[in-house]
Amino acid sequence: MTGLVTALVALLSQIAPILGDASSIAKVIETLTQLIPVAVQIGEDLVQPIKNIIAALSANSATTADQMAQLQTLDAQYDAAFEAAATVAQSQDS
Amino acid sequence: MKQFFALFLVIALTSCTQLQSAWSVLTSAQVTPQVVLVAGNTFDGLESIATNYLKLPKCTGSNGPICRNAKATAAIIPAVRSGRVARNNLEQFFSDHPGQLGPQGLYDALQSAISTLQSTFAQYNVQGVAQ
Repeated sequence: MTGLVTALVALLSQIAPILGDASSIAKVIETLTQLIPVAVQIGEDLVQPIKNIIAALSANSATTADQMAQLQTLDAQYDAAFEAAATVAQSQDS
Repeated sequence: MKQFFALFLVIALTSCTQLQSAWSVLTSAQVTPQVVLVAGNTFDGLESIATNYLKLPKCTGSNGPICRNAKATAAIIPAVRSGRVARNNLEQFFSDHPGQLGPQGLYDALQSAISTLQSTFAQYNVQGVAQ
Protein backbone atom coordinates (compact mmCIF):
# COMPACT_ATOMS: atom_id res chain seq x y z
CA MET A 1 0.00 0.00 0.00
CA THR A 2 2.76 2.43 0.99
CA GLY A 3 4.66 1.65 -2.22
CA LEU A 4 1.59 2.26 -4.34
CA VAL A 5 0.86 5.60 -2.68
CA THR A 6 4.50 6.66 -2.96
CA ALA A 7 4.53 5.78 -6.67
CA LEU A 8 1.33 7.72 -7.23
CA VAL A 9 2.72 10.77 -5.45
CA ALA A 10 5.88 10.55 -7.56
CA LEU A 11 3.79 10.40 -10.74
CA LEU A 12 1.68 13.39 -9.72
CA SER A 13 4.86 15.30 -8.86
CA GLN A 14 6.04 14.79 -12.43
CA ILE A 15 2.86 15.85 -14.17
CA ALA A 16 1.61 18.66 -11.88
CA PRO A 17 3.91 21.37 -13.30
CA ILE A 18 3.14 20.55 -16.94
CA LEU A 19 -0.65 20.30 -16.88
CA GLY A 20 -2.16 22.81 -19.27
CA ASP A 21 -5.90 22.73 -18.71
CA ALA A 22 -8.29 23.06 -15.81
CA SER A 23 -9.99 19.70 -16.33
CA SER A 24 -6.67 17.83 -15.94
CA ILE A 25 -5.88 19.87 -12.84
CA ALA A 26 -9.32 19.02 -11.45
CA LYS A 27 -8.53 15.31 -11.83
CA VAL A 28 -5.24 15.72 -9.95
CA ILE A 29 -7.00 17.65 -7.18
CA GLU A 30 -9.60 14.88 -6.96
CA THR A 31 -6.82 12.31 -6.66
CA LEU A 32 -5.04 14.35 -4.00
CA THR A 33 -8.25 14.66 -2.03
CA GLN A 34 -8.44 10.88 -1.78
CA LEU A 35 -4.71 10.45 -1.35
CA ILE A 36 -3.93 12.83 1.50
CA PRO A 37 -5.86 11.02 4.28
CA VAL A 38 -3.89 7.86 3.42
CA ALA A 39 -0.61 9.77 3.14
CA VAL A 40 -1.13 11.34 6.57
CA GLN A 41 -1.20 7.84 8.09
CA ILE A 42 1.87 6.71 6.17
CA GLY A 43 4.01 9.41 7.72
CA GLU A 44 6.31 12.33 7.15
CA ASP A 45 8.06 11.05 4.01
CA LEU A 46 5.14 12.03 1.78
CA VAL A 47 4.42 15.41 3.35
CA GLN A 48 6.85 17.41 1.28
CA PRO A 49 6.20 15.76 -2.09
CA ILE A 50 2.47 16.34 -1.66
CA LYS A 51 2.98 19.94 -0.57
CA ASN A 52 5.21 20.39 -3.62
CA ILE A 53 2.43 19.08 -5.88
CA ILE A 54 0.01 21.54 -4.29
CA ALA A 55 2.53 24.36 -4.77
CA ALA A 56 3.11 23.38 -8.41
CA LEU A 57 -0.62 23.35 -9.13
CA SER A 58 -1.05 26.67 -7.31
CA ALA A 59 1.62 28.20 -9.54
CA ASN A 60 0.09 26.72 -12.69
CA SER A 61 -1.55 29.44 -14.81
CA ALA A 62 -4.29 27.03 -15.89
CA THR A 63 -5.54 26.62 -12.31
CA THR A 64 -8.88 28.37 -11.75
CA ALA A 65 -9.81 30.45 -8.67
CA ASP A 66 -12.09 27.68 -7.40
CA GLN A 67 -9.30 25.15 -7.80
CA MET A 68 -6.93 27.48 -5.96
CA ALA A 69 -9.34 27.51 -3.02
CA GLN A 70 -9.52 23.69 -3.13
CA LEU A 71 -5.72 23.52 -3.10
CA GLN A 72 -5.54 25.78 -0.05
CA THR A 73 -7.98 23.46 1.71
CA LEU A 74 -5.86 20.46 0.77
CA ASP A 75 -2.72 22.23 2.01
CA ALA A 76 -4.38 22.71 5.40
CA GLN A 77 -5.34 19.03 5.73
CA TYR A 78 -2.12 18.08 7.54
CA ASP A 79 -2.86 20.81 10.10
CA ALA A 80 -6.46 19.62 10.36
CA ALA A 81 -5.33 16.01 10.87
CA PHE A 82 -3.02 17.12 13.69
CA GLU A 83 -5.79 19.11 15.38
CA ALA A 84 -8.17 16.14 15.19
CA ALA A 85 -5.55 13.86 16.79
CA ALA A 86 -4.67 16.52 19.40
CA THR A 87 -8.31 16.95 20.41
CA VAL A 88 -8.74 13.21 20.99
CA ALA A 89 -5.42 12.93 22.87
CA GLN A 90 -6.20 15.88 25.13
CA SER A 91 -9.62 14.48 25.97
CA GLN A 92 -8.00 11.16 26.91
CA ASP A 93 -5.40 12.88 29.08
CA SER A 94 -7.73 15.24 30.94
CA MET B 1 37.47 73.49 29.66
CA LYS B 2 34.16 74.28 27.97
CA GLN B 3 35.63 73.27 24.62
CA PHE B 4 36.83 69.96 26.08
CA PHE B 5 33.37 69.29 27.53
CA ALA B 6 31.72 70.11 24.19
CA LEU B 7 34.09 67.74 22.38
CA PHE B 8 33.33 65.01 24.93
CA LEU B 9 29.61 65.60 24.41
CA VAL B 10 29.92 65.30 20.62
CA ILE B 11 31.90 62.06 20.91
CA ALA B 12 29.43 60.65 23.44
CA LEU B 13 26.41 61.52 21.27
CA THR B 14 28.06 60.07 18.17
CA SER B 15 28.77 56.82 20.02
CA CYS B 16 25.21 56.73 21.24
CA THR B 17 23.91 57.12 17.68
CA GLN B 18 26.18 54.34 16.43
CA LEU B 19 25.05 52.14 19.30
CA GLN B 20 21.43 52.79 18.46
CA SER B 21 22.12 52.00 14.83
CA ALA B 22 23.85 48.74 15.73
CA TRP B 23 21.00 47.83 18.07
CA SER B 24 18.50 48.56 15.32
CA VAL B 25 20.33 46.25 12.93
CA LEU B 26 20.44 43.49 15.53
CA THR B 27 16.78 43.71 16.47
CA SER B 28 15.49 43.96 12.90
CA ALA B 29 17.67 41.16 11.50
CA GLN B 30 15.92 39.40 8.64
CA VAL B 31 15.95 35.99 7.01
CA THR B 32 15.90 34.79 3.42
CA PRO B 33 12.97 32.86 1.90
CA GLN B 34 15.33 29.91 1.37
CA VAL B 35 16.11 29.35 5.06
CA VAL B 36 12.44 29.79 5.88
CA LEU B 37 11.54 27.19 3.26
CA VAL B 38 13.95 24.68 4.79
CA ALA B 39 12.61 25.35 8.28
CA GLY B 40 9.04 25.11 7.03
CA ASN B 41 9.71 21.76 5.40
CA THR B 42 11.33 20.48 8.58
CA PHE B 43 8.35 21.64 10.61
CA ASP B 44 5.87 19.99 8.21
CA GLY B 45 7.66 16.66 8.62
CA LEU B 46 7.70 16.96 12.40
CA GLU B 47 4.02 17.87 12.44
CA SER B 48 3.24 14.71 10.48
CA ILE B 49 5.21 12.58 12.97
CA ALA B 50 3.41 14.34 15.83
CA THR B 51 0.01 13.63 14.27
CA ASN B 52 0.66 9.92 14.05
CA TYR B 53 2.18 9.84 17.55
CA LEU B 54 -0.93 11.46 19.02
CA LYS B 55 -3.06 8.76 17.40
CA LEU B 56 -1.35 6.07 19.48
CA PRO B 57 -3.19 4.74 22.55
CA LYS B 58 -2.33 6.52 25.77
CA CYS B 59 0.35 4.77 27.84
CA THR B 60 -1.15 3.06 30.86
CA GLY B 61 1.95 1.40 32.24
CA SER B 62 0.98 -2.00 30.91
CA ASN B 63 0.26 -1.37 27.22
CA GLY B 64 3.76 -0.28 26.11
CA PRO B 65 6.10 0.10 24.42
CA ILE B 66 4.10 1.49 21.50
CA CYS B 67 1.92 4.05 23.20
CA ARG B 68 1.55 7.80 23.69
CA ASN B 69 3.11 9.45 26.73
CA ALA B 70 0.91 12.15 28.28
CA LYS B 71 3.90 14.35 29.15
CA ALA B 72 5.18 14.14 25.58
CA THR B 73 1.69 14.96 24.34
CA ALA B 74 1.57 18.04 26.58
CA ALA B 75 4.86 19.27 25.10
CA ILE B 76 4.07 18.40 21.47
CA ILE B 77 0.67 20.05 21.07
CA PRO B 78 1.62 23.65 21.98
CA ALA B 79 4.89 23.37 20.04
CA VAL B 80 3.08 22.32 16.85
CA ARG B 81 0.47 25.03 17.27
CA SER B 82 2.99 27.82 17.84
CA GLY B 83 5.19 26.55 15.02
CA ARG B 84 2.22 26.45 12.67
CA VAL B 85 1.33 30.07 13.44
CA ALA B 86 4.94 31.15 12.77
CA ARG B 87 5.15 29.08 9.55
CA ASN B 88 1.83 30.42 8.24
CA ASN B 89 2.76 34.01 9.06
CA LEU B 90 6.11 33.62 7.33
CA GLU B 91 4.49 32.09 4.25
CA GLN B 92 1.97 34.93 4.20
CA PHE B 93 4.75 37.49 4.53
CA PHE B 94 6.67 36.08 1.56
CA SER B 95 3.46 35.86 -0.44
CA ASP B 96 2.70 39.52 0.30
CA HIS B 97 6.31 40.71 -0.10
CA PRO B 98 7.96 38.69 -2.89
CA GLY B 99 11.72 39.12 -3.07
CA GLN B 100 12.04 40.65 0.38
CA LEU B 101 13.66 39.31 3.53
CA GLY B 102 11.41 37.90 6.25
CA PRO B 103 11.11 38.90 9.90
CA GLN B 104 13.66 37.26 12.19
CA GLY B 105 11.22 37.03 15.10
CA LEU B 106 8.83 34.71 13.26
CA TYR B 107 11.72 32.58 12.05
CA ASP B 108 13.02 32.29 15.61
CA ALA B 109 9.56 31.22 16.78
CA LEU B 110 9.47 28.54 14.07
CA GLN B 111 12.95 27.32 14.99
CA SER B 112 11.98 27.25 18.66
CA ALA B 113 9.00 25.01 17.87
CA ILE B 114 11.23 22.74 15.76
CA SER B 115 13.78 22.47 18.60
CA THR B 116 11.07 21.64 21.13
CA LEU B 117 9.61 18.95 18.89
CA GLN B 118 13.01 17.43 18.08
CA SER B 119 14.08 17.32 21.73
CA THR B 120 10.70 15.91 22.81
CA PHE B 121 10.85 13.23 20.12
CA ALA B 122 14.38 12.34 21.22
CA GLN B 123 13.46 12.27 24.91
CA TYR B 124 10.43 10.01 24.39
CA ASN B 125 11.98 7.99 21.56
CA VAL B 126 9.41 9.10 19.01
CA GLN B 127 10.50 8.15 15.53
CA GLY B 128 8.59 8.26 12.25
CA VAL B 129 5.38 6.83 13.63
CA ALA B 130 3.61 4.85 10.94
CA GLN B 131 0.38 2.95 11.45
